[in-house]
Amino acid sequence: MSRPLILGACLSAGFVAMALLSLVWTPHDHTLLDIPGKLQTPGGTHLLGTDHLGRDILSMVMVGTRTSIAVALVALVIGLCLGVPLGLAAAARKGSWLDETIMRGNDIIFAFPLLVMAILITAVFGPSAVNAIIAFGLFNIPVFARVTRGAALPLWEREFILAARVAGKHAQRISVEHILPNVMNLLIVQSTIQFALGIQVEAALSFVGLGVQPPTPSLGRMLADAQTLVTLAPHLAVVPGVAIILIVLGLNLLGDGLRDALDPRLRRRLA
Amino acid sequence: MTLLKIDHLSVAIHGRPVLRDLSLQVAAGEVLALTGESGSGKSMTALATMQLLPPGAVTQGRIHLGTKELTRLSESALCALRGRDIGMVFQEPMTALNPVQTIGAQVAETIRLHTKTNATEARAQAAETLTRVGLPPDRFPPERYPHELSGGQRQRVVIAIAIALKPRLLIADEPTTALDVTTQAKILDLLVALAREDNMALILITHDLAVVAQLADHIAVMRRGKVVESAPTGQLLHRMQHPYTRMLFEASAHQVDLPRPPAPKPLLEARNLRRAYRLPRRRLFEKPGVFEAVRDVSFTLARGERLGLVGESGCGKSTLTRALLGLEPLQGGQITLEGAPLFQDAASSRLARRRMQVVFQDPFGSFNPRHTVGRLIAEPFHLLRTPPTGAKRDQAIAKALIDVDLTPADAQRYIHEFSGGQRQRIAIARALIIEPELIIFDEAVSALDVSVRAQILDLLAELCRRHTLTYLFISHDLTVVRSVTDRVLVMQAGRIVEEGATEEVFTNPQHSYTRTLLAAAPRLPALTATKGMSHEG
Amino acid sequence: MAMQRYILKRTGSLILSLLVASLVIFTVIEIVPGDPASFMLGINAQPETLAALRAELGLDASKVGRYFAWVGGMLTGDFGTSYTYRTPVTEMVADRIGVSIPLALYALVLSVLIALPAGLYAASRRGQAGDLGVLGATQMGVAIPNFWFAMMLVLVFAIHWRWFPAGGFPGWEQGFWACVQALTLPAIALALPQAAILTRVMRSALLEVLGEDFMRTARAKGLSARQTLWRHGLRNAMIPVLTIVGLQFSFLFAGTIIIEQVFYLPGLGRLIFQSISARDLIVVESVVMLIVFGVILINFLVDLAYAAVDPRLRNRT
Repeated sequence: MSRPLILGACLSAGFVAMALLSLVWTPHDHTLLDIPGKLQTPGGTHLLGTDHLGRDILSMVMVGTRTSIAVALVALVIGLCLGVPLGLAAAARKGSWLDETIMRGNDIIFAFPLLVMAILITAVFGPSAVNAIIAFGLFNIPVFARVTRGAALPLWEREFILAARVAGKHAQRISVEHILPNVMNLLIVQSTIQFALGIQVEAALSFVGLGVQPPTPSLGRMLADAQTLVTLAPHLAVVPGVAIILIVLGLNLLGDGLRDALDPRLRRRLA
Repeated sequence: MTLLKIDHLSVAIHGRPVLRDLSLQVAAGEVLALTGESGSGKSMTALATMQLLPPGAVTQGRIHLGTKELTRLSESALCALRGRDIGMVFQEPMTALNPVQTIGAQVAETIRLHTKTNATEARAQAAETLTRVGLPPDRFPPERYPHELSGGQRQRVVIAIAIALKPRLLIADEPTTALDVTTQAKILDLLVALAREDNMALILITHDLAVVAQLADHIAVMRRGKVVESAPTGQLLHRMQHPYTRMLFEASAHQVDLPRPPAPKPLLEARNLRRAYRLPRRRLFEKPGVFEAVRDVSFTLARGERLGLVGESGCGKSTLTRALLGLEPLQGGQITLEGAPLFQDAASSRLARRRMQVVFQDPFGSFNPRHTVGRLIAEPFHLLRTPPTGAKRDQAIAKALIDVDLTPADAQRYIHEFSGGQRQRIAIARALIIEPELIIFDEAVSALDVSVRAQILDLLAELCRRHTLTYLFISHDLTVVRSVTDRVLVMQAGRIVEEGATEEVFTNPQHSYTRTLLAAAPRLPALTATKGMSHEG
Repeated sequence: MAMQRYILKRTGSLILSLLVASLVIFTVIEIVPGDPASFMLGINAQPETLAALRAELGLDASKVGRYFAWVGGMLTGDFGTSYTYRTPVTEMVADRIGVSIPLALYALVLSVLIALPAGLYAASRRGQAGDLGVLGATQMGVAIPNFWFAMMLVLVFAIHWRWFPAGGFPGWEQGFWACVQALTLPAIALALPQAAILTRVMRSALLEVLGEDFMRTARAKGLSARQTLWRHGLRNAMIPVLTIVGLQFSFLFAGTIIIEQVFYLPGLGRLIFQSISARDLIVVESVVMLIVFGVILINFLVDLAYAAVDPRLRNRT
């Protein structure tokens, strides 16, 4: 176990634990307004201070983390559930019309920058957390399709796959039995990356008003509220910003650490 | 006059010794062959001489080139030496050249680096050097990129880079291992001729003892980082002192004792097989070209017969193999097994696979690293209508493992715990487990060291005695094919050009291509003076 | 010959991508319920006025006809008329693009200028303190959201030290340097996370190349480790780096949409948000198409750059 891996795992687990904890307990009610007690600096009864409406920032960060994680996680699952089977199918029938269609479709989605896709979707269906999830989920599909196909293609040339074909197994069964387990490492690593990206995307979309809508707190929404007040009370921007950085940092370190730990070539070198 | 003198050289990489107390000498104009099995430290000796050892290497001992002691030289002095006094040729011509630079520029770089020539002069000299290695500018313009050349041509460019400044010492590390036999012969002749012309000392590193015996003035045999025996070629061939040297030469010339095949009765018949690939379009509205990998191939394989298929890379033998296994579609022709056509529909494909199995070349790539050996071997059970389960399944796995001289306990282990030779045994066990009528060996011993190869070939002969195997043995290695087959097919450019009883074809080849092939293959000399080395053939 | 064929093939796929993208955008916008004309005129509009406006906007044509009118218009530089402002979209876009494109380019140049030396430095000191320092810094850089970084930059460099304006854009007629000054903080905010990614790509591409056989050939020629890296390593490492630079431009281009919000820059981003809240869909449609066109065009140019760097691609069409 490398140090970055441990650090990343601890950070990620810490934030997930905090998000789960917010379901049953927060230091204060995050919806409770307290106008006289607004814009308190960190310390005292409100550990991280209060916002412009006097709400407890620590409680909001806990609940906001939960929202951000939920958005990123659902979009990740969409990407995995649709992208991986598409990638496996494309690799199994390399060069066929199926492969061509999947890859060209991917290229088209890729040509839409994530934010532009979100804008297009919100322009039509209106801004909401669900639409932010759909936009990022759509973005995740070609990412996973590409990663899966790219990793699966060289495997199809490997002799153990030929041996399985000689043993009379169908492409579908080979994909599930032999290909998927061998691309799993890569998918795990890519998942941590897309998860981290999801946290950032939620923050960005909510920041410009295309994501999570009030009154639901999210890290991005807290930053949007802080924007006009940043000169008066910098901690309003600093606290959620640092939370985002730490979650993303933790997930990225976890991903890098896992990649090194799971790579059999590296493992052999260490052994 | 000794040019290179290696004195008690020991090298350890991250504490793991790779060379132990190694001493060698080469004189100007002499060809020294450094031979041994993989992991013996041949390449490390070359890299130590170049002082290009991987990071983490600790060197003891001395390396003298003329009057200079290389282990004491500064890095800048070594840079001035490399390329000018020592040239080196590597194993993999496909990757040894910079893909984004023209070949002329890569040769000229050596020249400009060490001499005060201007660009035009360097280019002219580079063209001259390329002509010397057989790439004249009128046919191979120096403006070409490496990917526009074949493997043999690329190796010529690498040689041109190494000899551009007529170095005193040329090191060639397995220069022909990645090449075909006819190309190999030309490259080796070129290397030796260049060394003789320029009075260079040549260190030829190769695992191929036939090459060694044919070309070297002096032979050094290495094992586990040590030179076990070193002597002038004639002397070494006739009075081998070390048992390891003797074992190596015996294993290289190993002949197996095949039982006589039963009376011919056709099992597999291939009729007019044709496989063509579409080439990418050259122009937008032009009809795309077609590459015929297999053209009109027909042959019969009798039950109990051991059939060989030889040919150089690109001749279509891999495509043919894949087509026989139903892994590639055919554009024409028919494959029948005892008269029943194969790969017509799902049922006939299943039947074909049930009766045919395959052993591939790469002992590292042909197993899923995540499954136990037991599960790997049992994979073909999938083809049976009622696969054995429980104790019966375990028994079958155990029997297959015992058949290939492994133990039933090995079923619980994972593939990375086994050596290359053991992995090929496991691959054979997998092929045997459903008792197929026909096994295809696709370059099945090509990646193995000679001693291991000899053992696997013996195992094959033993299995033939026990089970009356029928097999198709595909290889580029003529010696091996000669040893384990009754009949042989010679393939060239998608066609079978010659077919006949193995001994007949090898001793009295009819087709000109077969003759070229046989002439190009280096041959081991008869090792008469050594005791216990009497082999027929 | 090979190069021409390559360009021709890439151009074909460029046109195909644009065609499909325009279809997708048009269809998505078509899904929107409601009639822009009645939206513009309010509930009490006269049916005759409504019909006249519909004819003027081209809304009375069939869907297929409208699609071709839209695409045809764009080809001749006519992006239609804004529903809310009643001015040609082309004019509105032309104003805004003068902010967004320079900003994205500025950020791209910064990112490349930071990343290439940093990646080269880290790769040449693999595993040493300098390498680990660069790697740690890039981990941070990747994790920082650009709009948050922008807020912090404003706080420190605009409000605390007053070195740069906190926001707004003077317009190019006010002089080049004033504009560069106004775009500097936004460009830094955009460039930093991208530079971090690019540094990592540069480093790993170089390390990959260092393990190649031809690098050993170069050493055997007598080149020093440094010369080998410069003469043979860099150009081969540029191939993956180029891919990422191409991808980054689209990230940066889209990223300007958010950064413009922080700095109150009158770019395409602000235009889009104004149009969304005004439900001025013809503007949204055209600006989105324009951005997608930019992205596809950049990828096309990257493909051409590939062929310039890697001769193997010219033959493998």
